[in-house]
Amino acid sequence: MPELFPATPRTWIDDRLTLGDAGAADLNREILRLYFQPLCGYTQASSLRELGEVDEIVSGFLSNRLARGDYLRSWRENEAMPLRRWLMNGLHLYGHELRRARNNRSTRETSLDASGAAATASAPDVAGVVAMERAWTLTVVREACAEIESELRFAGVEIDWYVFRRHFIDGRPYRELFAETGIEPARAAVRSHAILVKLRSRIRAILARDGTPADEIEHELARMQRTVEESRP
Amino acid sequence: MSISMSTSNTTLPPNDDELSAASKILALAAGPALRPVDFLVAESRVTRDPAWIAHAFREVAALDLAPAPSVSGSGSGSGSGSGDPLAWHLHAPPLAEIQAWRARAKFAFEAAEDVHARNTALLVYGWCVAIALTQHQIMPTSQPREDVEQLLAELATVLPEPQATVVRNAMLVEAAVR
Repeated sequence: MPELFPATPRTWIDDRLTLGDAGAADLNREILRLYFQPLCGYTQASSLRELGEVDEIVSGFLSNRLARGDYLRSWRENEAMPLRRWLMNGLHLYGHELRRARNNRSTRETSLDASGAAATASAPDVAGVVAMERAWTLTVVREACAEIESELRFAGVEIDWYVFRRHFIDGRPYRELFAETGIEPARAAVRSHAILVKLRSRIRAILARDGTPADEIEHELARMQRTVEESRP
Repeated sequence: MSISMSTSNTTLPPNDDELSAASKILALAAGPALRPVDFLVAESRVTRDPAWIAHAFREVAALDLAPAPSVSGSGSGSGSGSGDPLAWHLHAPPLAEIQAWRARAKFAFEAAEDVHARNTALLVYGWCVAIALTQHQIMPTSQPREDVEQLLAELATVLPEPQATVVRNAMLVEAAVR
């Protein structure tokens, strides 16, 4: 199976950090694609939402931090923390900075408010963390699915994605789908399993790129599934 | 079921259909990596044709591969030089012919451009191993024994009778010749 992601995903980030402006643009697109929604989830569920529109806060944070050439390098030097957590902590601190700046502008009396803001900034909100993890999980699944569906559409076999979904997600037998799609059951089984392998690979690549060590991927997948199940009504 | 592809529904909560689909996809993503034989099993679930092995041999024989094994009639449909593969457990060809087919299947597996072609080659490969074991009491491959055992164990569950019994017997021989 062709791999669209490198075997060592963090290398992808390292490479872009050394490629100057072009690499930074690539990296910023990746950050926006994968982390914008999770960060919005955190903002929406935490005290940061009091600071303004969720989208604007997250956009402001990313613009501010990604403009710094050394911001992601700092994360790379902190091997133990997934990138989403690094960004979430950065967003939390950014909220603290916003509060302080607003207080400075409006009252010039920063000591009490700033110390209060510092206290709330000391640890991310628990509700925010839960919301971010849920949004992150859904983003990972959506992105992996979208990439594969896009590939299949480009190859002119988008119907394979439909069959895959109907079989693996909805539980419909290939023989039933034959009547609907005209794809022979044996062929449908083979194609759907090929899609399954790609999907597994994509999800794992995203997690690895976020900073999940290879030997913790299984644990992370189980945790993500629990996150989703606990979110269901 | 719908998996939302949108990246603009920033603050909208996902509906239960999407959560359910995401949960299933994450469950599928978990677990050990799929082995080649798992794909063969998947295809077998919808291919219960008793002549499956014969079809597979025809497909492998028809491939334009080099080097081709020196098996007479290898392109004739059922490999007349080696007899009907489905009846190899009754009238086994010489070990050299089985080995030629096994080598061709291995080559076909490595050259396969899609999963069906790989499954076909793997089926032929596994059947050759089973026949070499049951008819000649020879382990014809240097592949790791665990891989061979897994292949035979899965083949025994997916092949129709009497081929399934032949493969089960091959597993017993394999344990004995180990």
